[in-house]
Order: sequence, then structure tokens, then C-alpha cells
Amino acid sequence: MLALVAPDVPESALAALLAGFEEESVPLVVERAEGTAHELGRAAAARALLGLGLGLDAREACAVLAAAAAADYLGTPLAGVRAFAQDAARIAGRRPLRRPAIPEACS
Amino acid sequence: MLVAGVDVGNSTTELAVARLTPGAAPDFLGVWRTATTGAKGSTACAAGVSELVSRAERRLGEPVHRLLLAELDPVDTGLVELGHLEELDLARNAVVRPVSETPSGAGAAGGRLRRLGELEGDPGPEAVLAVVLDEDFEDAAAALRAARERGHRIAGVIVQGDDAVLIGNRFDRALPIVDEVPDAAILPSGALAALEVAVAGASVSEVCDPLQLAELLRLGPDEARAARHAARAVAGRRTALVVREAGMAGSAAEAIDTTVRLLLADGTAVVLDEREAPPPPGSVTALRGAARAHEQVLDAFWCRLPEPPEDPGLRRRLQRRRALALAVLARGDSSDLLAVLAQRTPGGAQVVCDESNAAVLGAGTTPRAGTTPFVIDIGGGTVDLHREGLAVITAGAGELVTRICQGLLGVGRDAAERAKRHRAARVETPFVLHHEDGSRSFLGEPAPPVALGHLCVLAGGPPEPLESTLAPEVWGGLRRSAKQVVIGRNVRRAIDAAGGVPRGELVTLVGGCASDAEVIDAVAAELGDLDVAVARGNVLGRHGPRAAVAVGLVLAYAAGS
Repeated sequence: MLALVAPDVPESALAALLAGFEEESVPLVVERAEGTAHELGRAAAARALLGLGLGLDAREACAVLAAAAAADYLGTPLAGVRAFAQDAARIAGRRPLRRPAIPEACS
Repeated sequence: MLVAGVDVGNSTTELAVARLTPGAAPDFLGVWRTATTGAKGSTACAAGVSELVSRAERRLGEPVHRLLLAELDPVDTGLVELGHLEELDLARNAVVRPVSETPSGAGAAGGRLRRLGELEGDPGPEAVLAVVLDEDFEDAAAALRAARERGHRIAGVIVQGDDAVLIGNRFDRALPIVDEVPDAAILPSGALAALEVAVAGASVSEVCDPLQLAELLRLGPDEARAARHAARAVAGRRTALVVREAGMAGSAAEAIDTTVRLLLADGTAVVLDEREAPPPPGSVTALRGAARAHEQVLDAFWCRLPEPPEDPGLRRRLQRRRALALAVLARGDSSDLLAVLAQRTPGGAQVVCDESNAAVLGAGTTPRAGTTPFVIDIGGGTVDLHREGLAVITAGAGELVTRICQGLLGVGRDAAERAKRHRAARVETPFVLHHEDGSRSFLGEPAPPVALGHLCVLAGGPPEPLESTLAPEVWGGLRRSAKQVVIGRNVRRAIDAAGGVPRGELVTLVGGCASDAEVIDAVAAELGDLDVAVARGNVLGRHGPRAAVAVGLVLAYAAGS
């Protein structure tokens, strides 16, 4: 997976992005580039082998499908980038997205 | 004069309105349908009937003069989870099932539960299972490394958040680490616990073995039953955690009654054995025990959840649940409903005949059906067989299949109903669907992200995700099997109770379930050895297999009057 990250994205958000992908055991390559989150996501998708690219700017993060690049496929404000990263990794891994943990039973 | 035949079913209420003219056949003007509002035969059903009558009157611009009903016996349909009742009988053990989709490491481990802060002191002689609550994964990994250097024997880690891989990568990749344990904060420090992580695609193999679990938790021979129940409770899962001396929830000291008892027509009482086939209709008169008490029973039908032979992990999880799909037909009293409905129309409401007679009359309106000697009405609650001079009603039909689908998929009733009726596929990628027959197709528009990786119902619109990750092939097999087990077998029970069907005879299927091609297949397969022709009714030549009873009630009334 490829993520293009604007220069003004804080290191903490970048760390959360990387942690989300690591938890899902999906490799991620990060490059710094200029543009909005959507522009960066679109550029990343065009280069990504799996047809899914990530873009981050100082406000938000998004995932863009190369085959449907006009709109974000998944997006989040930057504060939610850890969960977003795990979901994006799951899309790449063809697994269901995360959902709130529900205690099934405790007896 | 307009009259309306009203078929109040367990799931659906249907209304057929006709104009009656002396000396002429009834002129059917329309059929309306809605969900039944309340238990079949109860006064709550009046709301749905009244709404249907109003709809018909608005459409026809003329009031309905009289309502015609059949005798109504309700069916109670449910799923009794005997295995869940057993899980309350864990004595001093508590089973915690981590949500964990991304555990770390692999293997089983036992030890004393210790919070991270408790590992800052000197090590004890026993192995420990470290509990990580809201600590950052970097800090948690550093604390675990330091504890191990101090001599603590850390056999496994339990993480409240979703950080197992992150902690494992920084501490010990081989160590079993379960995460997303919502109850981590209330795990009793110092208690013995056992955890296991299976490799991807496999399920736990040690903690689901009662002897190995007893060894890990140092359970005595007097706790063998609790060990067996706890081991069964975690079988088939990729991750598991069992805690001893929990005190997390009230532990049951007394054995819990997990039996369903049947009172038979000959006066004897027997314990229901879910592996045995249900007896013929009329054999059971009452039920007691784990299922709700039922009196004046006319028929009881049960079956276990179908199991996929190709998925041993799922099979074991299903077996552990010991879920019993149960339908009970009891004698009903619809006099109150009749009294309420009588006020709805100027000509009142009356019972015309029983449902079976009405069904055979309605089915007889199918073009080329002739006298339709054998009619099987497959509704929501019952399978009714009618042949000349004889009717057999068996409990358990479409609604029971829905409850089984609900139990298999872990979804609500409406979603289960849709999953029962429509085929399904898994959304493999935003653009690719994986169908029940193994084929793939491409989507023109990307599927919504929430559908990805999920089994989805294909009902004509966008894929509707179900909370299930069953393989489409497995789900398709289970769904068809549920229809076979409930409807196929009940059709056979009804035919056997009616004394069989002559070879070469025509069997006409009506009722809401008969509109499902898989049900027709299930019935045809069940009756394959009888060499009979199975056909689907088409009431009045335009309503398919539905509304046979409602139409038949009008025909019976017209013939009588």
C-alpha cells in the first residue's frame, strides 16, 4: 500500500497511520508530497498495485480507489487516523472493516 | 355484496375480496397482504385485518359487508440454545471470548493474571499472563521486556485494546497475545487463567480439550463438568481465554435444567432428545422445561441447526450451542378476535371452515389443477396437508426456517428473513462479488465499504451486508439445508400421517413459502422416492401460490350460502 502524506501532517498522525497498518500486518510505504488529501489519495491509487491509495493532509485522511477515483472511498478527520488505517489495511486485505468491540459473553 | 376472506397466518395476513351475486360464481376483485399484527388468533391481529380491509375499501370504493375467517390455531416458533444454558454452569470458571481478529503469536499458555504494574516487583515462581489495559503499545512492550529481564515468566498477554500485533512485534512475536478483550479491566488479578491463539485459519486445539484445560487451570476431578462446559464454550474459535475463580459474574452453584420434557398423548413424559426425529402430529400434548411451557399442544416439531460438513470449526461451534429449533402448534381460541372483527363490518365476521378446506378450495383455482386431490399449504407457522376428508397440520414452516437463519447468521429477524429468501454473495473487493456457486462477477459501482468482506444479501439493490463472514458456498448450503430439514421433513411427516400419497399423484403446493424455488426443490427432493409430481399453485391464475386460504374461504362461503 502507498500513502502520500502532505508536509504539514504531524508526526503523531503518521505514527498512528503506521501503527494501524502494522496491527493488521499489511505493509505500507509512506512518501511526502504536496496536495490535498484527495489529490494525494488519487495520485497514490494511480501508482498502487492494489488500486487503492491513501492521502493525508493536515485536516483529513482518505482512501481512493483507482477505478473510482472521483470520490473518496473512505475518509476520516485526522484525529481518527488509527482506526481509518486499520480499515484501509483491511480493504487491501479483503477483510471486513473494524466495528465497535462487542463483548459476546462473559459468564 | 362484497365479502372478504381473511387468512390470519403466523407471519402474514391476507385478504381476498369478492363480489357475491346470487346464482353466479364469486367475482374476485383483489388480494391484499400485510404482516400479522400479534400472535395468530389474538385480538392484536385485528389491527392488521382492519388495515387491510380499509386498504381494500379505499381501492374498491365500496365497503366490505362481511369478513370470513378460518379456525385459528397459533404456532410458537423459537430457538432454544441449550448450550448457552450449560455455559451458566461453569462453576468457578469464566469464559471470556476475545473479539480479537488480529492476535499475535500462537499456542496455549496458562498462568496467574497480573497487571503490568504488578510485574515491576520481584518475580514469583509461577508463569504469568500479563494484562495490558489502556497503556500505549510502546510502553506496554517496554514494560513486558523489563519484566522478563527481571525474571518474570510471561507465558502470554491479554490486551484490552487492539494492539496485540504491535506489542508482539516489540516484545515477543511467538508469544500468544489476545487483544480486544473488553472485560480485561475486571479480570481478577492473581487468578489462574488459560489462553490460546491458533494460527490464521485454524481454531484453538488445547483449551477446547477438557483435560488440557483442567491441567492449565489445575481443576480437580470434582470440576470435570465445568471443565467440559468451558472447553466446549471456546471450541471452534481462533482465540480463547478461560479464567478460574473469576467472581466476575454470579457463578451458578446449582445444576441448571437444560432439558425439554414432552408429555405424550399416552400420558407418559419423556425428555426431548434433539437427535431423535419428532413424533407424528398428535403425539405430544404439552411441553415443559427449558422451552417455555406449552399446553393443549397439537404438534411439536424440532430440529438442530444444520451443520456444514466442509467446515469443522463452524460445525463444532454450532454443536457447542446445542441450539434447538422448536415449533409448537397449540389449540387456539379466536373467539375474542372474531368478536372484535365482527364490529368492523356491517355483516359481522364468521368462521367458515378450517384452513385446510379453504386451502384446497383456493388451490383448486389454479389453472389446470382440476380437483387437486393433495394440497400442501406451506405457510409461516405450519405445513398443512389436505386430502379428501382428511387434514394434517404440522408445526414448523417458514418462520422456523427464518429462526434457523437468524441463529446461523447472528442477525435480526428482518435480515434473516431476507437472507432466507434471497441468494447471497461475499464482497471480495470493492468491485468483485463471490457467489454461492463459487463464481465471481464484477460490480459496475464499488460496493460500500461496510459490505467488504461480508456475506451480503443480493435482493436486487446494492449488496446488503450481514454480520457474518461465512463463505457463500457454506451459507448457501446451510440455507438450503434448513429448508430441507424443516419444510421437507414436515411435508413428509404430514404425508406419512395422512397415510401416504398414491404413486403418480399430483401434489400442489400453496402458501407464502411455496413462492420460494428452493422450497419447491426441498419438497421435491424429500418426496423423490414417492414418484409424485410436485407443482406450485397459481391461485385464481394470477396470485401465484399465495392467498389460497383467503380465496378458499370466499369459495366455501359462497358454496354454503
